[in-house]
Amino acid sequence: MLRLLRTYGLAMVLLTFVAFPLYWMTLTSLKPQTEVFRVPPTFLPATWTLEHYVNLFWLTDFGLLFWNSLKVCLLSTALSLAVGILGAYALARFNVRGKEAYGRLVLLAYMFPGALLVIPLLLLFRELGLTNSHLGLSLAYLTFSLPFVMWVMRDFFASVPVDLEEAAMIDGATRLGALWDVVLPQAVPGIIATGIFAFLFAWNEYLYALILISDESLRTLPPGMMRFVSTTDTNWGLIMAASTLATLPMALAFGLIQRYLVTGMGAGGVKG
Amino acid sequence: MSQHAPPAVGTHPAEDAARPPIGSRSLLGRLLDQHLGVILLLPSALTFLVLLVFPLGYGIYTSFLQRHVLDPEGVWVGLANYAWLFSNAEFWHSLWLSSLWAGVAVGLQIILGTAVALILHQPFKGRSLVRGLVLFPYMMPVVSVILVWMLLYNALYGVLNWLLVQSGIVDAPIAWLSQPGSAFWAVVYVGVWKYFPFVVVIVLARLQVIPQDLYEAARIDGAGAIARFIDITLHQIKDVLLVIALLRTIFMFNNFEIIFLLTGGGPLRSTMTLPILVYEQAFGLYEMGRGSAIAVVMFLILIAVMTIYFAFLRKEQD
Repeated sequence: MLRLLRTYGLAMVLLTFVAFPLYWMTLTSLKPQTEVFRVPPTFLPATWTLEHYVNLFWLTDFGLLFWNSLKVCLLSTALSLAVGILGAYALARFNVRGKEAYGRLVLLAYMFPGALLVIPLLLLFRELGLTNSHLGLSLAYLTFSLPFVMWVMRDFFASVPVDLEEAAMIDGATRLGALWDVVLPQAVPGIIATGIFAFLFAWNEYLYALILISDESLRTLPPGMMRFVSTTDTNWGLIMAASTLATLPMALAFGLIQRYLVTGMGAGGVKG
Repeated sequence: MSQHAPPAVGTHPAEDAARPPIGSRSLLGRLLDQHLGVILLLPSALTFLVLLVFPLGYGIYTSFLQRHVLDPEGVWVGLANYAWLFSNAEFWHSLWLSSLWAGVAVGLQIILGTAVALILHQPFKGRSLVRGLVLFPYMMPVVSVILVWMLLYNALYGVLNWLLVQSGIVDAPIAWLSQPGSAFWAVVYVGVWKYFPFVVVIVLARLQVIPQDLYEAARIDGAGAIARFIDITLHQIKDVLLVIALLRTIFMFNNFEIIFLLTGGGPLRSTMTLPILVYEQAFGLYEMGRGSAIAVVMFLILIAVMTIYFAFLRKEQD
């Protein structure tokens, strides 16, 4: 009994530590501007308002930023899944010469510092006309999402029993046919979890988005949101509304895949 | 769906699946399979070549140039950028700060993450809800995290200062992010808050596969709670902890956004880690060559750490 009480106590402390910033973000987005600056602060809004959410779409380009981010992140996620799944399947199932070395290079690539690649990518993309382009930014995001997808999906395919494919091939299916009809359907939860992580990494990314896009109409959320701060009087209610809305897609996605989270987080070959 | 054992704890059971798959396969069939493997790898190999290997080479090449961002070619200066770097106190300061930031933040993430995993491993009502909520900081977009903490840390109307003053811990509000003494710890706190859930998830997964009879046996032998924790729990999770420590160290060492957006490397360079130094040189002063030289040094450090990691993996597999 005492033990259970202690566990509950610790869980409460933990929740406060984790959830207070989230609580404060949401709360502030629902307070009128004058109340945000009030001392002592109000822990529940004295006046509830949705004005910041309305203003976000009427007075700022938040809608455009959100839409741009969505486009870039969906494109880079789709590309990394398509290319990565094929490669991961090959690494898990085929005896290609040098595949262990290739697997390590993939992991190394996943660890590359963004600061290392951003300079050459800027110089190269400028030559190729890929700066100020959502396609260019999506390609830059492949530098971390593709290695991630390959690393995680390789483990995932390895955990799918090979018997089913063999059975399908005995029944006359080709390798590719077996991949498409037998393996992929089994791997759907893993693909979704991996895809959500790849999307999250892209959704978070700031440095490439800042450097590779300078056209205001093409800007994505992370640099776009930071710009809200530098205006002369910082409207925290508005900014917290933007932060809340930017968090929403990830919260929804994680809620859906909670069961499969470990799969995605196993990235980096964290083995038993 | 039940067969999806989390690969995090798996080995590669199907690794030999590539043995000539089915009895009937001829030499030709085997050859085709071999080629299919290469064909499936080609798109990713090409992508890596174009987006990683070539830029990496180009970055290394640029580190030997003096090149303004708008300069189409630049001037070959040999090792001058590196000479500048190694004789520059700011570089050594940043290298030290980066190591300190990575070391402290990762150490705290591991301690906190393991402790939380142990709590969430206990059965209690509402556990799955708490498990879900703990992940929130990790999935929250970095920019949202930064903006919330800027507001929380605010010296004039930040709630954190208000709580600290009210409870008598400090006398007057502290400008957390704009004083050299506190800025570093303020960013470390955010780094720990944001990334400790990563440790929780992995350690929790590992805790769940520790055989319960180990604990039973230890209990029968009369081992106390602390002895059981050290001899069984810690012993079982120590390999996972080591791997997480290594990977998280790399991620934190390379992390740009958290510090850059909270403090920009200041005040008085007290949070100027290497990635921010790269940014300052390359995009603040437009010195592409010097920026690249710093990035290359970061890359060499990465290689060194990864070599240790691979050696460790090999030892584990034996």
